[in-house]
Amino acid sequence: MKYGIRQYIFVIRELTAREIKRKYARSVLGIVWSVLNPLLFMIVIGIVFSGYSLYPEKYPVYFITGRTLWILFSTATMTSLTAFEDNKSLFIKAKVKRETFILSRNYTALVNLWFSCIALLIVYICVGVKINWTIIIIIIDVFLELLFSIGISFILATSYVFYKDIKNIWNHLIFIIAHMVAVFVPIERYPKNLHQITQMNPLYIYPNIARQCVLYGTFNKKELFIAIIWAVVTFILGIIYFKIRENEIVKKI
Amino acid sequence: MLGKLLKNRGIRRLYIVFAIIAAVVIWSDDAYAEDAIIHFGSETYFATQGEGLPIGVYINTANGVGHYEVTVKYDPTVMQYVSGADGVDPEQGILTFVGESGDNEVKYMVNFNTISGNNTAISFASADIRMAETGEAFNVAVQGAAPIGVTPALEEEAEVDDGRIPMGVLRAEEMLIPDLTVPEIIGPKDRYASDESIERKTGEGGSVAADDEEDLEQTNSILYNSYFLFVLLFIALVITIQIVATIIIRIIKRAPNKEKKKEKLVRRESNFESGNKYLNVMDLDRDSIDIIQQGVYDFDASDYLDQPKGLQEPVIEVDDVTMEFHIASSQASGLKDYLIQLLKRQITYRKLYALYHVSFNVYRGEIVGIIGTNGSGKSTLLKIVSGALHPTEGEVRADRKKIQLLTLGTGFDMELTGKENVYLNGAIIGYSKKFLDEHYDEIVEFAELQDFMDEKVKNYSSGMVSRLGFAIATAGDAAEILILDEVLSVGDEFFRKKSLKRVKEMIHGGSTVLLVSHSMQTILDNCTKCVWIEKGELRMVDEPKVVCDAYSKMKENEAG
Repeated sequence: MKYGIRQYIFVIRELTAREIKRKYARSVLGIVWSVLNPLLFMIVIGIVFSGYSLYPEKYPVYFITGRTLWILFSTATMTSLTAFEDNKSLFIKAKVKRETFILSRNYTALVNLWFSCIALLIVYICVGVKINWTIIIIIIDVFLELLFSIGISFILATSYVFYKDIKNIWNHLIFIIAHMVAVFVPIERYPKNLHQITQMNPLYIYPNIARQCVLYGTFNKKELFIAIIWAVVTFILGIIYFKIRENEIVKKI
Repeated sequence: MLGKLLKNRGIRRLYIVFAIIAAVVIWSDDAYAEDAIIHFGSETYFATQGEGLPIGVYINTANGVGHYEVTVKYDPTVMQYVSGADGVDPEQGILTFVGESGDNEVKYMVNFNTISGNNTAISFASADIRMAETGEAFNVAVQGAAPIGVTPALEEEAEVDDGRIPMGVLRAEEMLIPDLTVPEIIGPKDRYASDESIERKTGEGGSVAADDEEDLEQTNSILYNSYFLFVLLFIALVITIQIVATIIIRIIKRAPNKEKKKEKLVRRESNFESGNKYLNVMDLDRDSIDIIQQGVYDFDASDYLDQPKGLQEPVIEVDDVTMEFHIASSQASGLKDYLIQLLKRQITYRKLYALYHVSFNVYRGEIVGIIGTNGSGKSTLLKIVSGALHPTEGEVRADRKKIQLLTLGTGFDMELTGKENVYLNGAIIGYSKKFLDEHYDEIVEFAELQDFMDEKVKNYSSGMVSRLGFAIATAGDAAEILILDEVLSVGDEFFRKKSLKRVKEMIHGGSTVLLVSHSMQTILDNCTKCVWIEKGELRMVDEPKVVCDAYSKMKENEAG
């Protein structure tokens, strides 16, 4: 009956299992869809956009790597948005830490990322990308991005309890941001004045680190440093914001 | 398939498989460096004999150019170098560009004079570009050699007058592009960097003179600057609105703050009045009112301690708890609504006291029933006691770790099967995986649902759901403080008896119990003490019989 870290992990896993089961309960393809989806996207976008790349041959790898990491953020935040609202009764009555709801949604997004990694692997093998030790950096990178998403998720989910239209606003924002972080069109094609700002954008940095690691086998220490700062600061801010308003949420729900 | 995957630690297995695949792929230690691209400003150049010809030379990377050394070959019989490069060999027609930079782009503008009308080309001879951070060599992709068409001076004038297409000028496609192999590219070989990667710029028009290009870039940059300004202005606007909004909120909030104290005083008075009213309605004589009032107000006085229960320390101390809810008179459902209403100053809050200065104590081994009509604040009280909610005023002193709140079916997911729900719900209640594995059969047996565990819960009847909920909730060892929220009115008569027995076992195990029920009989049967809360106010704390009598009397009076 004691709540140790183990128990939290167990709860998060159970909640995550629930999310995944629910998500795929009604689809025939089930988890295969998680693999097919990025591949389909890659093919279509590859055909349309590869002309924009400086290196058209690399574009498929460029796109699918960047998109996979971008999708981690977008699904994590979009699903976490309603985390408190969906678990209303648990939120009030259960003794679980409230943070677990957010964490489980983010973890679900991470599990989905693992499934899309199969797609990534297929592409890498087909294209003949040589993977070297820098793949470890990707794991760190994904972890940092997750931390960042958790921070944002806390802020969004908390706000959603009070203002329901945050959901719509965030949907549109996600769509806009997707075009600001060089997922589709490489940054070299961005107007020069935007380079500096885009390179500070965490949502550009996380996919970019992964792309650098896969495509070139290198990584930029400065970029990694910025990534860490963004992740940690956002995470802490998110938690603080949630803690401040926790009681209000219980009242409101 | 998925269910199995998850249950059989499939995900973990998947990770392992993935790790193995990754490890296999990692075998290659062939680290290949990043790409740099060198190119001229334009795809093709055209000039008239005797005129100046500026040509831009660019090095682009995404990762910062460190030390670089690039040589460019031009035709000294057609062109004469004027300025712009770091070094020149005018006889061989070789320009060198050497330097160190930290930027992503290095840009040179080389000026030539054309000395004879002919077709020629300018191309890169060698390139060694290092990364700013590590000093590693980039793979260099060469973006084309630029053909140059130089029109002989005399012909040109005539042609311009005629307005015909100049004969001597070949279009880019017709020109011979010299061999573009890049010798001496330093750095590991890259399978991408080959002549194939020489990209043709399309759609940028055939001949853009370098000057024009510069102009274009300038207008572009002005355009983007204004775009930036616009974005910045927009952000500034949003921030200002935010600030103004907060100030307005403060002003609005400050006003009711003053009223708050007044209201409280009024509330206290009316509290007393309404209390009297209730008691009057009950048609009791003066003496019994006194008794009851004493019951209410002197409850946590020392005489209760004298009772032969051996109770020294209260396990739960509810000390002057007030819970205040703000209910916006017009519910703003969204941020937009909220802002609009804020600007219109339409938001006014109505205060609602879910609990108003409630205090009582619960001692070890007691079974305390809580009664009250709907909306009287019972569940708010439970939330505060269990620690889900923090009271506005006052506090509840209790060891939260020892409290277990038993509610039925919270966290049941209708889409999942019974078995999956046992694990999910069990996890949320706080059972470990090991515990659930061991007690699973027990739970199913108690709930009498052996044949339904692989069925989705949405196909269960409501009685089945509550049975399962009860079975899970009471599977573990009883906590020291149990809070039962409408748990005992579950299922059919037989199950109710069974569950009552289970709860009684737990109670006899030495637990202190807080029990909420609408059924007066349950409370009369099980409790040693009863708390009556009405409209957020503590009405009475006494023996269950006394309280229940008064409660039912009040109800009768209200009905009649």
